[in-house]
Amino acid sequence: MNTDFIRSRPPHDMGGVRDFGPIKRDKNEDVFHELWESKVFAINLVLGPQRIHDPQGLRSSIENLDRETYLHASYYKRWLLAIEGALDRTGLVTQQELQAKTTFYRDSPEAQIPRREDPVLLKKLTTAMTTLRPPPHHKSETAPRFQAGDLIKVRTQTTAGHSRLPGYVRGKIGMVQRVHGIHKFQDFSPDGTSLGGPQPLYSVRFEALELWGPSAGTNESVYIDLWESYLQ
Amino acid sequence: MSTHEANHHSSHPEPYESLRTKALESLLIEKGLISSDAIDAVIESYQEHIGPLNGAKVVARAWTDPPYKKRLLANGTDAIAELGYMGLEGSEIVIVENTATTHNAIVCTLCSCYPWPVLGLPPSWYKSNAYRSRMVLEPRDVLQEFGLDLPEETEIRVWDSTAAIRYMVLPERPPNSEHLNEAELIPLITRDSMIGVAKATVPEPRNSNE
Repeated sequence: MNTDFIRSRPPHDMGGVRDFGPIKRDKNEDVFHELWESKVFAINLVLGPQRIHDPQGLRSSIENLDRETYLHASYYKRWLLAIEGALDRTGLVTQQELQAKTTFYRDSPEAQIPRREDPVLLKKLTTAMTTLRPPPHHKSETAPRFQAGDLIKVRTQTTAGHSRLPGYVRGKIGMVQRVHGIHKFQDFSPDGTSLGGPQPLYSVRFEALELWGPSAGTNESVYIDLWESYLQ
Repeated sequence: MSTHEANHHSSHPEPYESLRTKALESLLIEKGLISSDAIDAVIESYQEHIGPLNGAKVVARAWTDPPYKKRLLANGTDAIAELGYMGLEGSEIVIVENTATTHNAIVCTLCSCYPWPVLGLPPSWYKSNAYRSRMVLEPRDVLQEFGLDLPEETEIRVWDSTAAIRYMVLPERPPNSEHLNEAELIPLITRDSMIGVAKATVPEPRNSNE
């Protein structure tokens, strides 16, 4: 593993890291490999109204896993651990309860999972999966500072909590392509405090040479959406 | 249970993740925090209904209906909703168009953001550390690994969808497809072509003797 990567960035911020080798593909893979993966996925969605990951979402619960776990756990194992952690923090399901129940199912392989129907919750989920929920219309207190064609420089300082600014564009110069309008800022400090109000979100183009230096490929660029707070 | 199955069970204890998930589901049901019918509906939706066939229908419409294509490129979310595809991870979708000179591809380096209403849930490789880390750094090499050889004259644009917008690629209509109608085009439009790691499938030439 690249030591620079270990020291300088949280593990999920992996854009531009060279250490992970070839991309392994499975030609005809199922949506879920195992039943438990589909259950973990569904449990997280159905738990939505309980807001266990507030205020930052599942993403931040996953990002809070320790580095080794994050880098080596499978995708849905990360989800499982993140959900467990959030349920424990909120007190809805403690780790002790979960351990006891796990032991029960290990010792009673024929035991069935109890069933419970809830038409109201079912309707809520069906609606979420099939209807359009446009992002709420936000107003910014100030007009966008930039417009298409402007050159911008990304700030260099990091955020301790949850951020959507990838490390590989910090300090880099790019060109604004379009303004996506005003979007809710998604960065939070470790204690869950929002780090800013709604603000312009920009599509910014970075040339490969600017991002990676002389070893960069020819005629390549990366487009990233960046909130105004990310720009100097 | 047959003897064979019984032996199978005893020699392969149920994996930890499976037991743990059973325990989790069971406790959440007992506490009234989730329900079985909702769990079943979510799994069925993403296994059977919400997948790349939706995106393929969007692309086939765009290839055959120029005004629709114009609306799709101007406002992806609304044009996709015209065909009935909406829902989680789809509140704002932008379509990027591949042409003879520009090739677009999508990635999410910070997690695995993906336009669920049109492509369903992402394949494992899209969520892998290798794809997430390398696609922004050396896209031409990555595409080559996928079997897509692009000359240096072709500009590659990689869309790192880490913030709030989700992206989908509108692949180029392949050669030899002029005679096909909208429904016949759909099977040519693969999931990978809408992520941007492949081109749409080129159909077999028509047999002129028929």
